Amino acid sequence: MTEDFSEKIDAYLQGKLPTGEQADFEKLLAENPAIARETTLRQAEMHAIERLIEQDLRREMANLETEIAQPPQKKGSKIWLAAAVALLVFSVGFYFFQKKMNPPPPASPAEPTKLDPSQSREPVAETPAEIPKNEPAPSLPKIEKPKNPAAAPRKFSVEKIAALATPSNLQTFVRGQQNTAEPPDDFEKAAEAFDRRDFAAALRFSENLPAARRPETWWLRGHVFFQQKKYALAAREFQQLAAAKTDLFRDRDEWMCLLSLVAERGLADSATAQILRKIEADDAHPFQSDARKLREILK
Amino acid sequence: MSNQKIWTDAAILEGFCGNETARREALRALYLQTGLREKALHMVVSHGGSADDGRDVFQEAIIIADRKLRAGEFRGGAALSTWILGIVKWLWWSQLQKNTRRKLSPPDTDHDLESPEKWLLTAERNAALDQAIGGLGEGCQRILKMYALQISMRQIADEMSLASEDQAKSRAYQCREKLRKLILKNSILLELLKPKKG
Repeated sequence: MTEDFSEKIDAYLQGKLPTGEQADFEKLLAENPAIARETTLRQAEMHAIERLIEQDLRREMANLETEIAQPPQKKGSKIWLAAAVALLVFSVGFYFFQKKMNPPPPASPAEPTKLDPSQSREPVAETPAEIPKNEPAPSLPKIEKPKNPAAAPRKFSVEKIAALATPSNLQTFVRGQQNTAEPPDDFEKAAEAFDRRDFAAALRFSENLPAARRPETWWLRGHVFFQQKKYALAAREFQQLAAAKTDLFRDRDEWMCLLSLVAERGLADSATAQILRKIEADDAHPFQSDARKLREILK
Repeated sequence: MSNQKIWTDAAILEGFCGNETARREALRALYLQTGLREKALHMVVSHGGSADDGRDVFQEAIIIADRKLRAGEFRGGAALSTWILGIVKWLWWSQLQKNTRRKLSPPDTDHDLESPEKWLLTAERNAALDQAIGGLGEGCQRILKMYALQISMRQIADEMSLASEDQAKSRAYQCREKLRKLILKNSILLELLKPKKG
């Protein structure tokens, strides 16, 4: 194929040929299978490169959306946060230091000590088994426990939610893309490790995969974290996958993201509840009935 | 004195037609500094869509706008933001039209009212394309993207730490050949792209 003719093919595909020449070219395409084949190949090549450019744009836009949703913290607020943490650490340390230096007098179970207001403001327990209402918590974890819905005890079965997870389909992808003549690449190794439940190896092999493998990498890592019950990390991987909008994982990415979020914190935030409502209401969504099952579990 | 760049329409257009860094900066400016995203979301929400629909349509519109800008289809008759909002309107109208039996009156935009599929590939084609490009290494993907963005061989050589323009040219050729082989192995893709007779 001469360079001139290749340029003509490009001009035809870009709709830049004058009307008369376009009709002639189409006639040629109908008559000459070799030219038709080359034109199809060139078109596929152009689409493939455009798809790469599109994927870059989608990634950038997903990052920008995240930035809009979570504006960067101001420097001042970071300083205040650091000061608050330092104060908390100091207070806890001081409390334990005080306690060690001035241990409270042991109360006798038989003869409850009467409280002398001049000695202490704190009420004294009637029996050792009772904890005074105003006494600080006895151990560090209890003091530091954040008031966060995620930390609240779950009222649903995570196992039941996990049972609604899609199969990973990793082997399907591997089989679809594998060239048996070539040794397995890192993605194939990661998928194999996942299937034999060697999650550490799956994560290791998935660390340096090429950019074009990102969707599969997110899918794989999401499932690894999900299996490891690290639901917040799983949700992050599936979120990135959903933001990239690859058709390979269409709807499944959204579903797995929802399951991970729900397994992590129930329907604590409105965005999670909104995704569930959306899938429940979407008659065309392949996971609509599963979404209804999920709603039942959460009840 | 502040060094902050003023993002005029011409600067954004130049950015989109430039190298990877320029494109990223122009997209950022368009996304965060022009108020365009908010207008697009408002447009979709006030025509029966949700905020999520608005975000999706806006992103699709940016992808189409990028292709049209690089193809030289923006002639500056209107402001760039008005032109992109026209694409948003057109996309949302097409989506509404798909979901209704009655004929909706088309939006008033400068864009041709052909099917968006002219600019956005179908899910099936995208899946087949993803499979083909999945076989390329990151280096090849980058070089092919830069080549398609009409970045000079000198600049490609610099970006890819290659010794000369000739080396960049030869690397681009090898990558192109590799992509062609991957496409030829993908019978589904070839079938989907085959020119339709008649």
